[in-house]
Amino acid sequence: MRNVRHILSGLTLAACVAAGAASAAEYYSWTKQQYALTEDYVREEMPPGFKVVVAELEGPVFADASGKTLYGWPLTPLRNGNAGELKGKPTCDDTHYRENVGLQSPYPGGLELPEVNTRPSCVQVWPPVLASADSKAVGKWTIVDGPNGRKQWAYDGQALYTSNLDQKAGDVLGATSALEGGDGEGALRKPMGPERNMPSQFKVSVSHAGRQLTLANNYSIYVFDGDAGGKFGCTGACLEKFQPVPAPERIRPQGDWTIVERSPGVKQWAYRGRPVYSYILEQKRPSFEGSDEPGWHNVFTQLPPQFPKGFQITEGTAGSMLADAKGRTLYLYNCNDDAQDQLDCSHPSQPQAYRLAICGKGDWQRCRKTFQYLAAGADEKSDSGIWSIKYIDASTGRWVEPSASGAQRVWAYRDRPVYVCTRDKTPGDYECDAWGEFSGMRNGWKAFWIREAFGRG
Amino acid sequence: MKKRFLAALIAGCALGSGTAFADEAYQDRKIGYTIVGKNWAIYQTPDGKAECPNGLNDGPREQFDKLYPREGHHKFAASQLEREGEVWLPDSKGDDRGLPFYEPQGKIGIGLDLDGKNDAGDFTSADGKVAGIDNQIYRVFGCVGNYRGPDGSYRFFIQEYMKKFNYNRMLIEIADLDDMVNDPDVTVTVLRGRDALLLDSQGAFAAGGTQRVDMRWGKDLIKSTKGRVVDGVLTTDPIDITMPESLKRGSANLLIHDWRVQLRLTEEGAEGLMGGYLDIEKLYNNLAQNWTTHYRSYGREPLPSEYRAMIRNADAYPDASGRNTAISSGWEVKFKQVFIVHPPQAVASGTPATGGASVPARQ
Repeated sequence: MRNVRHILSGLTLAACVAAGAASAAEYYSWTKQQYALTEDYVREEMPPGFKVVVAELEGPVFADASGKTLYGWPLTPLRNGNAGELKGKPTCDDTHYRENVGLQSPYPGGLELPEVNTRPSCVQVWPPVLASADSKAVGKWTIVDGPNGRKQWAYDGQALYTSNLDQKAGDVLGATSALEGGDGEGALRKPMGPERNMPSQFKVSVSHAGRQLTLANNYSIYVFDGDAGGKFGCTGACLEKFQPVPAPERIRPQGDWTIVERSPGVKQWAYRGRPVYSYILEQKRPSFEGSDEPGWHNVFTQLPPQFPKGFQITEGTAGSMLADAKGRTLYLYNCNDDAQDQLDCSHPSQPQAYRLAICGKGDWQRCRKTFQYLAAGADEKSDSGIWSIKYIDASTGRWVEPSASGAQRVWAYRDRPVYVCTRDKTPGDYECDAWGEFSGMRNGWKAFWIREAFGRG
Repeated sequence: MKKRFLAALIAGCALGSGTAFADEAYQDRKIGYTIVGKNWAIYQTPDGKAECPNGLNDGPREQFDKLYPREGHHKFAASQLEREGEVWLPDSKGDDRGLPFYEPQGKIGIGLDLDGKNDAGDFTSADGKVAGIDNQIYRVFGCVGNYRGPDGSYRFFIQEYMKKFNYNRMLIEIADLDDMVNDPDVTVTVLRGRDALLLDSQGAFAAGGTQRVDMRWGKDLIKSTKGRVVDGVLTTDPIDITMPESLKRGSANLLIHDWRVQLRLTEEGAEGLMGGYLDIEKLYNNLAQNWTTHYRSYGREPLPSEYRAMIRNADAYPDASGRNTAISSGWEVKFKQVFIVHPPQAVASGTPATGGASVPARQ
């Protein structure tokens, strides 16, 4: 027992031990020190000119020499077929697609795409990361043959691209791992990054609420305030709800992961010095259900970007949502088109016909009667790179200069407008969640969920 | 009174109903149930020709093909996006652009008499014993494949998600219950449970499970009313409730005015009818959010056409202009007995409230 106490005291009292806490009331109690913690990754040999950048929401991602994030387009099964790229077989080319392909059930292919005469090609939106003649493969970094005879870098077989939306080093605006894709939602690009430095029993679930640690079977990971001062606080009846995550006998510590011994011969994983548990009563996986028990917290490898000052978290019958200062639920717009190259249509620089059809039958003024841009006050500002204040022309849906006629000063998240919905009458309402094609995931709006207490169980 | 309850149990046992856990099921003059089956009350003849002489309705695929024939050249915005825009912003007075929509014919229907009157549009039960049935939503859903048994897509999935999705976990707790056969005054509370349903070894719902009450997200869903048990059938007084109704994708709610149940009670479960007036806007959005055009295509469900049918058949809660905003509705429902676990008061009051509660804004 003395040994156990020694191990615990040495771990839990170390500086920067904090794992993220997920209950809504704790969101604003996180410290700068906790926000500064980032997800660990495996340092592996890389070709010259590439590096790893730890992004706010995306965690460790690859970047080129100029800091541009690298993306992949994994093959994704959709309702009526597959889209994306097989490993080692890039297909993104300079074709200007003019028609949809009907991967999005139930509609057929062969329909002329919006803004067809100015629609960019795949490589214009996703420039391939080209390899020079003297480039050499290193580890998982290989050189693959792409369309038109190009030589292109690939990581773990997945061809690499940059995004035309990323303007400055550290931007990850082209795609986010917080959106799964697949099914009817589209074959989405993904930021590419190094292997996470964690035991194979664990994985990271990414949402706009942060990078949450789970077991490989999606059970959430929790830590307990009672495990401190050299003692295991969760014993007896506590163990009927929370199950210590066992560490295999011959496993070794890895990165932020260490091993503690609950009792002689019984080993348990600890993350950043704190023993970790799963919650036996968890219904939805992953979830925050265990954090409703006093003293228990979910664990994040990396906390979400700080929300703008004045924003708040409200609760409705389905969970917790991010809201503005008035308590109005915030919404994000998702869009992915149905062409062979599956281009994004959620950004103001991209075709607006999709969005306007859903909220206004093509009429921007009718659209504003339901979905309104979240206005930013003159004295408001963002503390993070992922939240920003921009100017928009509501009649076109395009970003404009502040001096432009009719420019509205609005909040943006990932360089895309944030919305409120006029159907919401009281804080906690989410009447416009899942509004649009494929429940708001293909062409429509989803509430900015902090904690989906039930969905997709 | 307790003796009468026990007598009822003994009688039930003699009739062959299971009583293995009866003493446990009934505790502190209470018994709890969780919903395990819920279907719109759709009257069907074997071949459907009596109520749907024109056949079943077209769905999104069929309507799209009629409006935008495959051999033509069509623009995405003017065809697919036009159809999706119509889903989210349906015209209340549109003519469906010449697309037919078939409503069930005849006077036979399933449901409850919600208003105590036998109006011209009301239904009569198949056996002729109940008249004045208010279930106008049947006029909307009755000839839509999605909702018809035994294999309508919506009908299948609403049961499927009953198992795997606790968002819809409706509980009913009957308190002040002295006699399960005849008790003139009971209190009935609607709540939401947090736990998985109990299944037997064959995968069927079983009685005797435990449900913790959702006092955080579901606090605003808790509503109580009075009721009575007559000859083993519970009937409740009408109340307005919010009913969570989700098929996994959205987490939307229905607003039901004058909700009530008529359930035959046993110590293992309850079965019967549920009814009320559904707020049309909430209902329509719930269907649109939960069940995408893709899924509606499975069961040939033309949602915008249904909206216009809802408007046509709405029969209650007129707004200032006199337009009815709600439509009478009925469901066939099944419940299984559960032990409802209420949180200790201290815990319940210590958790954040729902429906408008929020943590302080970031300073």
